[in-house]
Amino acid sequence: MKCFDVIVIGGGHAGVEAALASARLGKDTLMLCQDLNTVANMPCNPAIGGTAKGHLVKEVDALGGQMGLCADKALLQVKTLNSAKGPAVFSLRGQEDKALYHSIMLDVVTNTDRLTVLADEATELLTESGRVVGVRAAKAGDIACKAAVLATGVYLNSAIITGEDVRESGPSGFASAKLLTASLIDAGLKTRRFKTGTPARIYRDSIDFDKMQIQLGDDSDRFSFMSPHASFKEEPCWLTYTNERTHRIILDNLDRSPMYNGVIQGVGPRYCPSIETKVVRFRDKERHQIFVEPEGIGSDEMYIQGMSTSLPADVQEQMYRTVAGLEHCRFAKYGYAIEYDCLDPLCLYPSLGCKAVKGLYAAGQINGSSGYEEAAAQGLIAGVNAARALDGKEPLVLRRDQAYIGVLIDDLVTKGTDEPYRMMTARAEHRIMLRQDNADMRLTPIGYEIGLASEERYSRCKHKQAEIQKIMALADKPVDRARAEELFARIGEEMSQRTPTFGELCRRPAVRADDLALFAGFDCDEEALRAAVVELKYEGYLKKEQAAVNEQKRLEGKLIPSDFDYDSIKALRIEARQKLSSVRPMNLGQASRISGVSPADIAVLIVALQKR
Amino acid sequence: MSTIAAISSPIGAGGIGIVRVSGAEALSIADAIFNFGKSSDVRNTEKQIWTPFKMNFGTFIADDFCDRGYAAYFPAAQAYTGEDTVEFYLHGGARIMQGALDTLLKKGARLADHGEFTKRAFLSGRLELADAEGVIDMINADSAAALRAAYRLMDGGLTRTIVGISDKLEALIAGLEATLDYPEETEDEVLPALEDGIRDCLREVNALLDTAAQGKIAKFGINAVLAGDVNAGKSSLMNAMLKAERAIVTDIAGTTRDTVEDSFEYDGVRINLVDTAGMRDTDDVVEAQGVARAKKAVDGADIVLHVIDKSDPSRMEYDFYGKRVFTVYNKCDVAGFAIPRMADTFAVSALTGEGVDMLVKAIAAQYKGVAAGGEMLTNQRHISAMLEAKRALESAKNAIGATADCILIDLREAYDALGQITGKTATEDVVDAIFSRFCVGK
Repeated sequence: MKCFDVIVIGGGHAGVEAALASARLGKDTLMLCQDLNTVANMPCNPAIGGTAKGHLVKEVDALGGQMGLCADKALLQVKTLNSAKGPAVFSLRGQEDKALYHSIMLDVVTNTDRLTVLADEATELLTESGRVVGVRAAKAGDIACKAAVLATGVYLNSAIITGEDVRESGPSGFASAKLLTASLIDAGLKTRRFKTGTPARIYRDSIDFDKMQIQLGDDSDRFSFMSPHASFKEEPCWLTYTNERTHRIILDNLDRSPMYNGVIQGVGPRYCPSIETKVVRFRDKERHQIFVEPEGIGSDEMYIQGMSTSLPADVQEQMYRTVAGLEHCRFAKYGYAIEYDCLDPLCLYPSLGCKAVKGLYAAGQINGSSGYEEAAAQGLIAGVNAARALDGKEPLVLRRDQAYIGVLIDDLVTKGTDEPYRMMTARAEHRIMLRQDNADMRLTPIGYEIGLASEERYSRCKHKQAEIQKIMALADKPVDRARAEELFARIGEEMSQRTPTFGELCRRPAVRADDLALFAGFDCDEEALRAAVVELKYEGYLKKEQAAVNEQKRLEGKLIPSDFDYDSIKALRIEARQKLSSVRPMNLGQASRISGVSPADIAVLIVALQKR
Repeated sequence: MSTIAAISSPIGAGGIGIVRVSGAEALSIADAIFNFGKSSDVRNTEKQIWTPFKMNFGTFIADDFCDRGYAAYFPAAQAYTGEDTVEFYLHGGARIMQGALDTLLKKGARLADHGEFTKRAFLSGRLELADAEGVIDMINADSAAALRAAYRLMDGGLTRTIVGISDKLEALIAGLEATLDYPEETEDEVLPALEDGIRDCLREVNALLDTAAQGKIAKFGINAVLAGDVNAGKSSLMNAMLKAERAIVTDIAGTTRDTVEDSFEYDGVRINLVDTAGMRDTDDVVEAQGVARAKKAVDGADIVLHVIDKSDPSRMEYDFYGKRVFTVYNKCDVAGFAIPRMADTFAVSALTGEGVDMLVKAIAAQYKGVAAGGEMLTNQRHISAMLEAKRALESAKNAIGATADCILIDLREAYDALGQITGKTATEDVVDAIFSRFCVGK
């Protein structure tokens, strides 16, 4: 077989974005996956987006990625979360038709130029003097490449655990990959074992929906800046609750729970605790929410969100049937915990390139993250950087003030993680700048520059930017008085003698973007108007945040040579020397975020760098 | 880039001391507290023209004193730090140096970290060091000493109080953050009341900052200012308390024209007495200046001794704007006044010395009385952090009604400010707090 530029190992959410990005940047790319049915598979919840994750999807989209476009075509329901809590935290979530999402994405990857998709298992990474030279596949044999992206998800040495039943298997019944880990360790990478889990799937016709509350979407938005606001057939979700009887059954069977009887050794996420963990840790809580979500139009299975468990099947049946509406439920699949090998992300650079092996990149759950969106974001960056490195270009590294993607990757490679990492808005210190509404303004110019975002996407972005500026230019101009009087009367507020300016109107809490279209004096682009109003409303906070960002940026701008010898600086504390040597930060900004490195250490480092 | 300030000369050594402020707001802060020339009146609006590199003679206006000295402005392009920098050359000595720094911090500067001026110099590409090792040693020695000092000065009670405020704030932040990251799952949760919580934290921060005043007394003594009508016998009383003929005493009303200062120790407490010109409206230019200074001295008083001639009860109305006031009836040997003390009212005779000891004892007790209460904020770094927290909390209080994403900016800033003492950070520790406090996650 010929030599590929880039081989992507894995066809999940990280794998497809990595493969698409690499191919779209002109590289001959091979995507290996064990089975074509695993491509863009959603083995857990049938939803994309949500808090902080919606931001990630929009950012992936703004850079020219695929997730948002596919998610928009497979929608069952869409909703903006936090719509009353401020524009920084507006978060789009879509319920997705899993089978449809998979087939749309499979169609995209198999019809992309320069991208070959092969159903085969990667069994060994081939390296020569510290550099990737190929991948050995179970059926195809040795395939040469110049760079490779590991996007193995939870497939490495995975074990599925349901009570006493432990079997070697990947998620959703797909085979696990047992051979690759050994060659990663041989290549000098550090691996460890993480755990995650999923709830049972219940047959739709065995659920009594009358006993549950219906949950509908609001059709407020779409993920992709390129998607039309097309209509789709909405499917409802349902809300019900656990109760004391549910909790009693769980507590009575803890000795049979792999989480508590020692069968599971891997570290589980706090972010998606199993129902047994919730009940044990929060004993005072009388009930826990359960959301019942459709897996797809053509599927007769429902996903029982909130009841992830690895208890034995018979206990699962007992406890599920205590829940209102699930009294007579029949199980399509039992809930399970899954343990898998992953890397310590401290072995990666912010480019997602491995420190130990040149040309090797890693993305997604293998890096210790959890979630489809986190995976897609890393996949895109790893794919882009694998391709750029072959062209001798600087890697694309997004800063924490530029994107959630920047926060995600920086957290992983600078602080590491001891549990599957979930993106949260609380982790983004510059949250007010990293909004969904400006993801395109923040990232599309970058996506265009690196060659990933299309001409059309870029020109839309420029047009929106111009529209925003047109509206922002109105800020200091007084508005039409008669119209303002009408508006004040409607929101029940007094207007002062002086006619307010457009900016002042924006800043009034009760005034919404829709109210302001009339005052522009020209036809406003709806999206641009919303974005402009946010900029004006939050001007004071944005300025304050920008000042903090500028401070940090100066540190980010000071690069540390990759061969810098921390041990030679005797004035650094030993702990700092060790931490710095292990992380090998790219710049002083990254160095300052390493836990155990103090401001005094940074000052010492600064002087030492200067001396060099 | 935040504006930072620090004392740049060794404390207690030398006749001249240097305080430096660097950052975007350096010039506006300097302009607000330094008058070219000899006027100690606070200018409100008009700005002075600061010629780069020029040594400007003038008056540094601190909260409780004024000092004459020089100030020089270094524009960003030529300053060591690469940012607008102003240096003040004042009289050396701990009191003035600390007071000048306090004033800069109150005006919005932040206390510089160890090595921060150097760090900024590097970041601006300005650092040119012949001997980098020397600077490293200095940074290390400095921070080690500061660390030891901080530990020594920080007693268990103080730690508990600050950690207590930080925990309260953490609960508020974690509650709000949980609702942002888990909007659906927190519908059942009982969240701490935001407005009350912010007010609580602010109250505790303010209480702690008040103790900083006590800390200052521990270091510099109690400022007791004698004020009152002309010819009430303030100078005589000062001499009586000092047991020395320090101030000139005559029968002529308005003898004291400038403030006269001296101090003595009583029971381990330093008492700084300031005698002032008697207050009256006057056409005499010199005396009018003295009256203005008397008012300024009262500003800096920890306690005002309002001296009244018991034998001549006619007197002016005084307003000591919220300062602790001891009303001291003098000349009670003439007037025949039996009870030496009732609450904050004293009867003394500067002439015979009657009741003076009791007054001195009461002044000294101002310190011990409060200090016995427990923790006290003395460390400059802690005070700077608490001031930052206070500013952020006030801003959060004003933002009540705004959306959560905005209020959290201020709350997290306050939490990070306290974190300079507690070691907690708004990113990692808040995330931990969310999961330990709330049952969230799918």
